[in-house]
Amino acid sequence: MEARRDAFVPDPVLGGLLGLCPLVAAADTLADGAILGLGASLSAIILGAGLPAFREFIPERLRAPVALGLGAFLAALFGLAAEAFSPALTAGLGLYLPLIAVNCVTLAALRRGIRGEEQKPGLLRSSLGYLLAAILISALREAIGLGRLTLPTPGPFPYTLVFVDEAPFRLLAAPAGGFLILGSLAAAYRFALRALGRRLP
Amino acid sequence: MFAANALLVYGLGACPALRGERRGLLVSILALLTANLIASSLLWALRELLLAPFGLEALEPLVFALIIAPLVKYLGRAIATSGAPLLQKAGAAIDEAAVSCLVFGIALISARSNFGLLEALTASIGACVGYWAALVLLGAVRERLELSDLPESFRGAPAILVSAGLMAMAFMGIDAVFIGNLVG
Amino acid sequence: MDEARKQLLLQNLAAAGFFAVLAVLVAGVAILAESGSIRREREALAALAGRKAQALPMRFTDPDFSRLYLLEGKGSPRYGTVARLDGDGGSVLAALVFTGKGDLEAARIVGEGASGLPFAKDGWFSEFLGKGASRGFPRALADLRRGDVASGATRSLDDCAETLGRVSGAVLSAAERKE
Repeated sequence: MEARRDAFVPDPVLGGLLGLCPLVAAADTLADGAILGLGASLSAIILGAGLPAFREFIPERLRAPVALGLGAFLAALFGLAAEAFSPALTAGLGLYLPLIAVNCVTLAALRRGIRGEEQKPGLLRSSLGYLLAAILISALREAIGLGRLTLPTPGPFPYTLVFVDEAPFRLLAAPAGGFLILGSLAAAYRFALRALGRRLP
Repeated sequence: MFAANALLVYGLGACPALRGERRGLLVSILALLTANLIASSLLWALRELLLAPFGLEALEPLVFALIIAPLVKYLGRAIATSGAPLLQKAGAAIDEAAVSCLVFGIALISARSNFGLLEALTASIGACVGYWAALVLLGAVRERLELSDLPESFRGAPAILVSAGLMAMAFMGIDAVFIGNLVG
Repeated sequence: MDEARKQLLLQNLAAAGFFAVLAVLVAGVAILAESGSIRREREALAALAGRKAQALPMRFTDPDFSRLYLLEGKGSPRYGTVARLDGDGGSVLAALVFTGKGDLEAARIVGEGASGLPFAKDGWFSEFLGKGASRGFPRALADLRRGDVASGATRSLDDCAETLGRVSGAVLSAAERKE
């Protein structure tokens, strides 16, 4: 039981309040949330797992800039890949794709990687946690706010499940709704944690 | 740019805003302003002169990470090591802000909006002031919230997030149409 | 130069070289992606206008469009672009054909960020096609309130008008340059 408690990694979004920028504003459809979440968690995993292996070869002075450059490189490549995947979805994401380079979740993995902290299970869990939270938040915003769910399918016309023709609660798709949903989810997360007898660090 | 608030509309800098560090708010906003002015003008110039003519906008993050952030960081450290304690604080804040979604995001917004350099800089100043205003308002709300009787799970970050959402709703009313109607 | 300084210089050079390789890699992928999107846009415009589309050698730093295409065929030349139109439920990519005078002549949605956006609904584009740019678009604010003119949110119509205006301006300057 103690061991399990030690291995507990709080969800980075709902527990740690990290990497919120894209989720509050841009992730107003399921597809947007999935793309942004995937970008940040992929670069966090690659950087977090890759940097400790290479840090011996990089002089300490240059570690931080090299890591930051690598993060930006990954973000740039991911942006291009996303555009090839679905130009229309990517057009709506605008500045949030390059912003993956400085996403707090990516940066946190990067910092731990520079310090060479061993962190494989935690890294994987927090990155997947970010992806899941991004999908959950954007899906809630789109389903309740706009009455539909846009799936991240390739091509110019992503597949959309339409529940209601008129947007039932448009506010939730706006940034204000992003904050409201995030706040409610964070409260629910805390409630669930307390029910399970765990505490946020 | 004030109406299109960096925090409440673009969600930029949401993480530090919610962590709620209250110390030296004015110093940190000045630091943010400096970092942003440099970042915005550099990104604007590099984008306009180097990237856009060749269709290489995809290089933006690399340009930021390899040229702009190190420069801002260097400047911050230079300021921090020079003299007065206030400058030291500001320098450290600039150093910290150099790599953040707030600085990069505002620089991206102002560089991408088809503005001239002066307009881009004005927009970036406006964004910083707007961010600061939102922070001050949120800080006041936070103080009230600490005294109020909230359900346990809502205390702290969730309550702040919801308040930010309510404030963002208010900001939705202050948009281009509203200002247009005011000015006539 | 002493040994330590030499070492530092070497390290810096190695890092710079490494970054240069990264930048060249991204640029290469970007150019590949660009040629792909030019091909897609040319096909879309050729299908819409029934003319051959040829990319003009100019780039725009506009957030919503970056290239113009010359559509040559019978009669005066037309200009085309694929622009992003932003609404409050998401964005669409629209192929737009303009006359040399900057009037919008034809439009078709070639990609959407989500389905069911106001732009995609019937009549949204057809209603204002043919209304000259010189007369302003939309002609009067009152038009916006008529359901058959704007079947979507008036706000997205408004946003879209601004983008169309900028494209129109770009077309005018391109046409001037051509003459």
